[in-house]
Amino acid sequence: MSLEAALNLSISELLHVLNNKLYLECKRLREYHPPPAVTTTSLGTEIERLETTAQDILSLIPSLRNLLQPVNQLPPEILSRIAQCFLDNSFASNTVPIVKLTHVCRYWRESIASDPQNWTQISNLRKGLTALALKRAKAAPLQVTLTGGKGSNTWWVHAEHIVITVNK
Amino acid sequence: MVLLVTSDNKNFVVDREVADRSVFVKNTLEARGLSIATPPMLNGGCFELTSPFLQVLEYCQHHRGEPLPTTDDANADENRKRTTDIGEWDRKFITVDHEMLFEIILAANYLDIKPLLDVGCKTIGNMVKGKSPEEVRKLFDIVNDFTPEEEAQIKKENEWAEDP
Repeated sequence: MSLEAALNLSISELLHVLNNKLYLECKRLREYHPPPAVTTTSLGTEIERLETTAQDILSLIPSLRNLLQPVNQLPPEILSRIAQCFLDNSFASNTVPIVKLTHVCRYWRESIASDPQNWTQISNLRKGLTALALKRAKAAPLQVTLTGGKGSNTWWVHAEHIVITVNK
Repeated sequence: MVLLVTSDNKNFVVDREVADRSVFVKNTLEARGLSIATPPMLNGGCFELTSPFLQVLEYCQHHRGEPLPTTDDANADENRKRTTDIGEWDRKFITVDHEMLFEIILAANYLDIKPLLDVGCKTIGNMVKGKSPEEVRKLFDIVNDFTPEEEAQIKKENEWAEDP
């Protein structure tokens, strides 16, 4: 069966074909006595490949299941808009709750992480997240908040916060 | 008065002032005349419009006459989005089950009613506020579908988030 023909089958038809094929291979192998070395080697390679593919397919099933949930019928721009509720205009960076939303599932992660507007609040408080936000903000203008602390040796030490708007 | 027709062929006659709360309807009316057929396709599938549409109409009727957000003021739009505050009437109005909430949001998005879209998004924002990813998954019946590689990256991001 060509790949094009296989792609036209439904998932249950594909599984039926695969099931029959595996059954026939098992039967064929059992009938060889002893099985020729070359056959077992090439079949062994094929089985390994099949195992890898099966694992890849299995890893996609939870994502398919998630896409059927009503909340995931919302388009990416709406999920992104929900995340933006957390970008209030206070001085503290509010990237943390948005990062947490990207840990819910792959669809939320792709939707929220890919919108530069969600990553424009940059703070010097969490260096790892700063690098992540700078990468995801792409060319969007940034609001940078620098926060000094007691005993800090930095030039902004006398100010509680300095907010800078940066157009990249 | 304006005739609005939903995807399941229900007719609604509403005041122009109410219909104009939807930028989509307003622009279509201006372009075509006095009646409109609302296209049935939303988000790639057939959308049962009547039920959420009744809710949307109730919202538009309640807020009729209020100034509409202007498209030129991007800052005002950003500021409106960036809070989770919802007015008392809106909060009661949007207290519906999850499916209806998502349908109202989809309808508001499609019909371009930004204040209603904000109310819907903020409601979900309030539902997920302070919850862990696992709690959000439970809330919306979602499963963890990350690969081991993605899980490793998420673990790093969690460490960065906890970094003082």
